Amino acid sequence: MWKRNKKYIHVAKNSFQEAIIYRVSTLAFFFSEIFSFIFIFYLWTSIYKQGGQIGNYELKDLILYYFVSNFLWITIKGTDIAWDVGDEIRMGQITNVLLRPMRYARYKFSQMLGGLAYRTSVFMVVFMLIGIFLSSYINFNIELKNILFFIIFFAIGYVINYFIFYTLGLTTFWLGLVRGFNFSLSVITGFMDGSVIPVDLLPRIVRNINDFLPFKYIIFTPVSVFNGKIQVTWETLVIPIAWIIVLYLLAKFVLNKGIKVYEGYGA
Amino acid sequence: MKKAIIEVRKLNKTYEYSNKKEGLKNSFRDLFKRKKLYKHAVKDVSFDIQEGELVGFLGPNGAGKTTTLKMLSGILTPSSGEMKIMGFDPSKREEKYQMQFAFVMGQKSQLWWDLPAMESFILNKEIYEISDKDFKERLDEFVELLDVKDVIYKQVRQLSLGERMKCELIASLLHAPKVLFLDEPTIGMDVVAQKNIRDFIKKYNKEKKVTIILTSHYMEDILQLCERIIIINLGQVIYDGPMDALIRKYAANKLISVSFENEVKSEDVEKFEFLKKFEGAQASFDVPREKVKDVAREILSSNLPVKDIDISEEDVDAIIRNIYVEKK
Ligand SMILES: Nc1ncnc2c1ncn2[C@@H]1O[C@H](COP(=O)(O)OP(=O)(O)OP(=O)(O)O)[C@@H](O)[C@H]1O
Ligand SMILES: [Mg+2]
Repeated sequence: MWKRNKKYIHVAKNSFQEAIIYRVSTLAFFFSEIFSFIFIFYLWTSIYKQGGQIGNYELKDLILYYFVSNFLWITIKGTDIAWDVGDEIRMGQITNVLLRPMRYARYKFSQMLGGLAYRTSVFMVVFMLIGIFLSSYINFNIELKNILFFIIFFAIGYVINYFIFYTLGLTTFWLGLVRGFNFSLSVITGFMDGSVIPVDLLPRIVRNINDFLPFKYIIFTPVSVFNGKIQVTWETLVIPIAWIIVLYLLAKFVLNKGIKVYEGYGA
Repeated sequence: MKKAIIEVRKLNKTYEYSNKKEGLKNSFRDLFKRKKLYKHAVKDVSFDIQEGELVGFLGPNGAGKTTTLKMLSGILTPSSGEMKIMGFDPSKREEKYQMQFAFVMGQKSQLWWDLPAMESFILNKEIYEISDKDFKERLDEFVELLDVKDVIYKQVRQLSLGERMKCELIASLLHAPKVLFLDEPTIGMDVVAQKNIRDFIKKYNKEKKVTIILTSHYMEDILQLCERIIIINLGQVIYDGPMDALIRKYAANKLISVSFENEVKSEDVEKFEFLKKFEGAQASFDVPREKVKDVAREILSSNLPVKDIDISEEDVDAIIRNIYVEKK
């Protein structure tokens, strides 16, 4: 069992190494992230000038929210998985995986995990530094328990996001090109996953629909576990885990169907 | 007779496709209604290959060579027909089968682009469960033979085409496959690099008794390497037999191309036998093999202002034409 899967650890390791080679793009990423954070910071500070609160968020709550959600965004959504998968299918690179004793699903997951590990380790340091700066501004006082739960929900959020965009990428088997589609979906899901605005500040109807969708578990839920707005119970765990199972089965189904229609594009 | 290691019977592949228009709107429209088109790329192909043979697939662009190899390696499912390789049906994509063959594509890399080739080798060691000892022995041997000691520690994206292909070959051979498919392994390379690769393939086939199918549209490649040749045209096998018989029957001639310093008079050129084409400062001759030397010597020792002379094999199209002429 272990021996059969050791290869996937090497895949993750190689992709971690590749990510290090692209550190220039990481740096660019990092600066754009810092700027957008500063922008959000000032935007909300001026909105809150008169004091008071929006929904159940005071200014410092919102700043904390964006602080954590930006970290999640950059680590979880830092690679365009759909594009990566789509490109591999379109250019025929997937052939190289299919003809070797390797499972494409596991190969891709490990490869993406390598990138995640890289981004998480870099941005954890970066965000801790920002956090030190912010802590003179606002008082964090986060319980240790919340941090532990946060790690669990971070993993859940990552996996949900992974399966959604992985499956989207797999549609390239039929559609040929997913880029435009992919972009529109990213914009829409930005509102639903909580990276643009906390989802509990959305209009009631949207919120009600969103409750039946998996997106909010990607960013909103982990943040809310971190800041204590969501108390973790069995129920808060069961639903996203059920989503993971559903999305996993869907991805598996789509991959199997896709490989059947795949005819080795290119070459 | 010994049982063949590769058996192919009446293999067919028809691609179903549609002409996709660009744009999101068209993509969606295509999804619901689109005109299906069919391409019968491989037609009733049958052959047997014995263990240790090195067989060349020769054919013009679009003949169906790659499609055939893709079916043999299990990436494509045939529309009909049967295949048996080492007792396996490739379409089932069994790991046991995948552990024993390799498919090297000249135009597609299996190496990690941003890492040194060595990292890809190590990954393959895990994928194919190669022991430390075998890995080291084989790697050392290949590195020595192909002279890539430093190359394998350089980022793959920085390698020349020839260097990269050497690394592709190493990556594909570390698990000591019994069957090897090489799809245009020398594409785009200069003459020296081509020869390096060819010599290596030849030696490897001789020493390890590995069964190899190699495709190319260069007659030269196949001539140097293969004793047996299968010619495919428009999806069909039109010749399957020994190399020397092919040469005797259908490639009896070689091509001499001459370019002159300046334009010459046609009567000066026309006095030579076997003239095929002449225009101003260029002439080509279609010469029987055994007379090539003589004709070349005559041309060079004449008073024509020869700038350059080149002797080459006839191209695939000419050979195919000869085969069809013969069949009529
Ligand atoms: N996925 C596909 N969909 C539709 N037609 C295809 C597809 N792949 C290949 N074909 C067609 O099938 C025919 C055979 O293609 P194939 O790639 O096997 O040729 P080949 O002999 O390898 O040619 P080349 O020497 O150019 O590599 C071609 O006419 C090609 O256009
Ligand atoms: Mg081809």
